Parts: sequence; structure tokens; C-alpha cells
Amino acid sequence: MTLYRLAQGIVRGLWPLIGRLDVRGLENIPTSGPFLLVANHQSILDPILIQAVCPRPVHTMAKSTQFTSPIFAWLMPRLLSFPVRRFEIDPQAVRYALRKLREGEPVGVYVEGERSWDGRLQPPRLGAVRLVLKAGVPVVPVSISGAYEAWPRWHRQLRRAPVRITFGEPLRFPRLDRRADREAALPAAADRLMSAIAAELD
Amino acid sequence: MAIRDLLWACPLCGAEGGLRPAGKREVCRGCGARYRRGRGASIVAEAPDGTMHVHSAAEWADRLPEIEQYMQRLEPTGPDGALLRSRARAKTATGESVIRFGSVYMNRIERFGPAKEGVLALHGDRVRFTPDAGEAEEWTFDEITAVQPSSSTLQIKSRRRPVVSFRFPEDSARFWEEVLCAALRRHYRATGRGEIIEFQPRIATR
Repeated sequence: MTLYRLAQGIVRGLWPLIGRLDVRGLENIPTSGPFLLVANHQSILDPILIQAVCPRPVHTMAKSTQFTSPIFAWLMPRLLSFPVRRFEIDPQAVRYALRKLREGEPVGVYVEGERSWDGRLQPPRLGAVRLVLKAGVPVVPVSISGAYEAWPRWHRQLRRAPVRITFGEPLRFPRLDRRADREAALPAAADRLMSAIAAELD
Repeated sequence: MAIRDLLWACPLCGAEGGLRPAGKREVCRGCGARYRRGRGASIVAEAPDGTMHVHSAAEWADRLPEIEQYMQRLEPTGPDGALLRSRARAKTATGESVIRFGSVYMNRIERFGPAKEGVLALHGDRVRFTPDAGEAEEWTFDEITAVQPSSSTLQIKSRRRPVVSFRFPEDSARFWEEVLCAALRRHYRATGRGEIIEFQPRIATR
């Protein structure tokens, strides 16, 4: 947690040198208890900025290949990131997320599963929506815009750009323990989630 | 990563796989248009006649050819009859590592072996990687279980075989992902296995 807080301080301190950061809806973040933070994914900056401004430390699901180098395998867990293998069903990543929620902690997922190539919101990965329905905790939709202009996926260089992060009002989804119930509720839950994220995008 | 990862064809002349690096710009080898990043995430193209075209990435992406139409135009070429081939650097997962935080087990992650340089080729019912040294390897469409982009690589997972990751030094990983997904969709339709709705974490149909 020490390194997480240190990284938070560094990003909060240095980001103003790079660009403006407009954060809205912090009052929507539950002050106690578990919640899922579900965000869109425009840029490599998203997890850095969202975790920097979210007042509660968030355990964030990150692709497993980010853990392959020894330095990142050491660093990422200390920044509360946990790996998910995206090319096969990964029950351990889901177990870890649910365990953290049971412990009363927030968990973050990027519902599109990967950064957008062209800046537009992509369809959700259904596994992320299944997690929402399995967890049954409040879901805070997070919309990040401007990060794509600062650092798009197809370019190596970070540039100055204003970024806006909006934490939406928590959404409530029922906890569905039966797989058949989850699958039936999936399309409507996905629509509701993506609409909440899209509503706050530019 | 480069503009050609996004624009796998030149939106001005339609040449597929046309953009090539040239200093800080990328140049279409079809028409000679020069592309560079503009303000924010816009892309500026300078056409051979000197006219400038400035659009957002999304607007440029909308001008790309439809991948299904592109697939219909592909013809087998070369002695192996491949529809498409690109230089690629392949890495195969050789094992797994455990990620822990203190005493807490988080998950296992794949550990990749050394990179092999070679050629990745798309055929009507398979992809084949022929390394510059060593034996070729194939993945038939029936055994592929997931297609996954990761940064600027394409990952393919197949039944009972480890995941393999391809990087394309001269071409677009996104293009290869779209082409392979379109080829898999067509194969699934042709073999009566339904419409693919997801490629990750596992190919799912309806």
C-alpha cells in the first residue's frame, strides 16, 4: 500500500505539468464497503490517472502480459494490479476479484478489455459483465475522456491534453448465483453499464 | 506502435498494408501520401498533390475498406497458396510463472520463450508460421480457441497447445487480428457452427 500511495502522490503532483485533469463525481465513490469500478479504456494513462484520483485504493485487473518482466511482476502487485489471462477463461482472476470484494475492497475492471484503437467506445467484454452480476456489489461507472488525445494506442508519444474523469452514480445489479440467470441478464446489464459510461463521454 | 497499426490500408488510395515508416512519418507505398500525428490524436495526411487531409482517428478508421470485402478479393498466391503473408516475430509460451503479493497467490501468468523470426501466412482453413530456421507450425481454424490482440501483438490460443504471440515489424497486428477473425467467422459459417459473437476469452457462437 505504501508504494501505491507514493505512486498516487507522484502522479497527482506531476500530471498538472502535462495537462489539465478534471475530476467529477468523487462523491459517488462509496466511502466504505466493496464496489466495482467499471471504466472505459482509451489509453495506457487510464489506470494511472483513475487510481491516482480515486480516494480509495482500487485493486485493478490487468492483462497478464504486463507481469512478464521481473520488474513489473514485482511492481504491479504493489500497485494493486492483479493479472488476468485474456486468451482463455481465467477463473482465478475472477476468484481474486471476488475475494477482494468480500474483504470490503474496491475492484476495477476495464469493461472493453483492451484500449480503443480509434478512441471510440468499444463493445463490452461479456466476462466483465458476468463479474458484475456475480458480485452483486454497487458498480461505479467511470468515463474517461481526453486520455486518447494525450496518448493514443497507435502512437509512442505522450502529449499535453486535458483529461476528464467522471465517476458516475453507483448502479445496482442483483447478485445472480445461477449461471443461467446471469446469462439471461447479461444483455440488459451490458447495455445499462455501457450507457452509463457513454453518457459521460464527450 | 504506429499509424499503420490503426490504418492497415491507405484511406486515400485504398492500398492495403501500404504504410511504411519514413522517419517521423509513414508513407503509403501505393500513392506516396505521407501520414503523421496531428494535434491531439488527429492524423494528418499529405496527398501526393500537396493537399492536406486532417481527421480524427475514428474518421480515418471509417474510411478503411470493409474487412469482409477485402477478404473476398484475396487470391491464393505463391507455391503454398497462402492468401496473405507477413514477416512476423513469434513467441510461444513455454511455461507459467506464479504471481504473488507477499504470501497471497494472485494468479499464474504465461512465460514466453525466445522469439523466432519468420513468415506468418493465412490460408483458407489455417494459419502457418514458417520460421527462418526450424520447422513450420500450423494452427487450423478448427483448433483455434481464441484470438486476442495485446498491445501491438496478436495472440492465438489453440486447443491443448500454448498461446503464441506474433509481432509484425512491418505490418499491422490489428489488421491481422481483423483478417483472422473474419476468416474464422467465414469458416464457422461455412461449416454450420453458427455466428461467432466473441473471440476472447474463448470463441463463442450463437
